Amino acid sequence: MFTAIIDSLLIFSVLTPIVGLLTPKEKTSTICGSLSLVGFVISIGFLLRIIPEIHESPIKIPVDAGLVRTSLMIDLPGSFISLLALGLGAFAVIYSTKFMERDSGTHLYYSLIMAMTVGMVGVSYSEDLFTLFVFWELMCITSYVLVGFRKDEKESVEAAIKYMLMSGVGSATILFGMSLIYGLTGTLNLPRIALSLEAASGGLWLYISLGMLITGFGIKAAIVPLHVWVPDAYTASPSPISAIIAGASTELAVFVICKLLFFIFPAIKIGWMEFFSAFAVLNMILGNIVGLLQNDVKRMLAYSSVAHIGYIFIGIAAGTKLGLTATLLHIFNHGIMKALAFLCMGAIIYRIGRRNLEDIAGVGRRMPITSTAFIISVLALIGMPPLNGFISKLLIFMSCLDSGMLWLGILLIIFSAISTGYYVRILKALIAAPKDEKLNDVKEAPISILIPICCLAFLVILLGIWPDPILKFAEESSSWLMEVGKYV
Amino acid sequence: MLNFSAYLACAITLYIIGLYCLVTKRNLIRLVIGIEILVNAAHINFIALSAYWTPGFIDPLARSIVVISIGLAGCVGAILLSFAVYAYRHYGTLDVSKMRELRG
Repeated sequence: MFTAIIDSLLIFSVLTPIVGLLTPKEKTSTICGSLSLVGFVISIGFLLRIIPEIHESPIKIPVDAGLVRTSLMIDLPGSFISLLALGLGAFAVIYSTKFMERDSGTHLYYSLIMAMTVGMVGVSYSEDLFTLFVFWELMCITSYVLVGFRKDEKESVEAAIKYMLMSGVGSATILFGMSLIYGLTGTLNLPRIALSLEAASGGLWLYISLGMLITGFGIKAAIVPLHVWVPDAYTASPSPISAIIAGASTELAVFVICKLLFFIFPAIKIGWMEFFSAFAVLNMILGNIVGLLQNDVKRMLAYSSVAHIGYIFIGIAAGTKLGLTATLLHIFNHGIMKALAFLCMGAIIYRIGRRNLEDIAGVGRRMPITSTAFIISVLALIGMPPLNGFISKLLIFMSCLDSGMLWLGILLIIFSAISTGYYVRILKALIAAPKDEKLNDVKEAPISILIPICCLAFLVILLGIWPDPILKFAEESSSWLMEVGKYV
Repeated sequence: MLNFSAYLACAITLYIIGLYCLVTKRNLIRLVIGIEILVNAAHINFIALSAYWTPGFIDPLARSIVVISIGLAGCVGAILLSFAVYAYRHYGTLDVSKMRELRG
């Protein structure tokens, strides 16, 4: 129907709940989990197979329905982001087979995870705003249900409601912005909008529509005044869902903002550099300062996400090709390390059942593998040299110097130093000697939880030591995004 | 036929009414209605623009996005209302300012 990457996921998304209904209850999680893993593996296989092809030219898949023509376009930046989404989805599925075992309705859970990934992949490939909006809503609606999946817990229902109210306003604002763009250009196709706006010199309605689109996507991307749902939704949702939302869906929103700014609106570039540097500073201040005050580890990680979105915005504010490369690379790296941190925290919650710092003090002696991976992810979030967080932060700093915004680079270093304050508190709690008697009979997490954790920790180290392939991918993607002519 | 700016003014007014509803009201059901008003403001804008862009011809693209978006808004409304039921079971009220488990 669309492309093999999306189709295989969609087929398995329909198939999984049907198979889940036919299997005995105690085996549902394992069987449905392995079935959806097959879907993810097939989909990733198709993606890897066509990546050499799209280096030459993007593949266009028109969806014809009479007079209405919309289309997907598989291009380099899109496959860069969809690789992250599909990979994290697959890891979350492996992780969930054990993690969600005690919950009811797991067959629907896997179906929803796959539908959410379909939404993310579709958004990254969409060539016009119509397709983008439909896939965006698919991602949003499934993520609402997944955040509130444990409906018997007070806090997850509350978090889902807060998330939905914010995100619903965001979707409506996006639709309004799209209608204004449609009114200005008469089309919803991205390259055609770019062509017809090339000669435009701004104008009030263009700024209003751009502002509405950025506000709408910014709610998902946790730009600071709109970030209030982030700590609640990340804290209250099941950990694999926190990992997908923090690692892929927030990053996807930033990617869409990049695509809009560099691809559709390059003509009015002058205005948004100051605008985005202001938001970058706001995000860094709030994320890092409020993060210091938290006691709940998942909340701390959520605020660290807000701060990292600030670092990503510095790359956008630089506005050069190097800045965009740094942005894409940090999107990828931050996705991996934040997902790793949430998965490790989930493993600790799975064994202990609490998430406060004092409750997990000393857990490192009882769960050595999980804690080692957690320490690796926290060090990567700080930006320690041999790990992947360092490479992308260095690139962001270099892009600041490149475009003459030294003050922003200095702020990046200062806030990275401040953020070390709360990361070190997590490290200290992991390394400390166990005081609590209750921790004595805590065992290492089961194997299906350890596999994704170890794979992601390995990736964090590998991309730190040998960043060349992913760096080249990000560089090529950013040059694709910056050249409108190649698309038309 | 009315001037196009009348439709645009109507859409923007609806959008502002929806935002006002979301900011001032505390009842969850009213908030759901606020979101529906916001989405419908965008729909009206799309429909008005589809007729305005080429005189005598109505663009089916804008119509189809509106039809699909109405369905999507229905989904969001349904999920919000079902969570409202669960919130009522947990808290015994639909007042969102009383839902304060998560803070900090």
